[in-house]
Amino acid sequence: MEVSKRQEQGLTVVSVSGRLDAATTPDFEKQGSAWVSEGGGTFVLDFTGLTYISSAGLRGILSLAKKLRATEGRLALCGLSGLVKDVIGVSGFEAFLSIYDTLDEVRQGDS
Amino acid sequence: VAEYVFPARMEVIPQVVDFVSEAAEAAGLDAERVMHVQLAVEEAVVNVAQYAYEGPPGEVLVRAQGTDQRFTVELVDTGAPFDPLAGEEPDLQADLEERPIGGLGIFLIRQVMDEVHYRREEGRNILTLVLDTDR
Repeated sequence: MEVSKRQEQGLTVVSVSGRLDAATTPDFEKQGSAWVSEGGGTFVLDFTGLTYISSAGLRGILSLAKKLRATEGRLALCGLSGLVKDVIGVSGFEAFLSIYDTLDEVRQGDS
Repeated sequence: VAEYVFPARMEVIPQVVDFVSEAAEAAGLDAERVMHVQLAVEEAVVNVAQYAYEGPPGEVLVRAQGTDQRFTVELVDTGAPFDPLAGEEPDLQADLEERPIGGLGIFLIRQVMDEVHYRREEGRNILTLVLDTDR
């Protein structure tokens, strides 16, 4: 798993690539806690480079969403494909977070 | 038949996933179905690592077998009797506040596998994951 974070126009964009699984998610959750304690706000997880996710990864997303909501922030996802799109789709996560096709759509939806 | 015994610990999941992926590729599964096998096996091993053994971790035997029509993975542990398929379905409509952290593992196994079976036999938990390969 590779994670990179950048700020743009009131958004925090976190690009996650590789695998979000039982082995890598603890590190993702640790980084997520640090981001939220640095200020929260609107976060976008860009999963364009993510090829695999398991229930551990879903737990990581859910835990970040809960932390952000506690700070009046929110979480959106974009760039889902293949297994990642299928797994997040069947798990019903769109009930509590916004899912966009591309980062551009997030920017437009947010302005 | 490919067979290997792993310690039932979260740390070995990447090795178990590599092991079954190799067997799945050798059985001719396409990339998407290999991922499905990886997902189901990860979830199953997480379960064993978390629930089967108290105290020092035990072991989980992983057996993968491909035939013309089916690719099968069996996971065998000697821990406490535990039927992972007996739990309740997760509430997929729940909002953020009501969402428990966890509980989706078995649900995902059912989503990606064609068949899932559990049996208790001679002091062992045996979980069988099956994909039809002739479709």
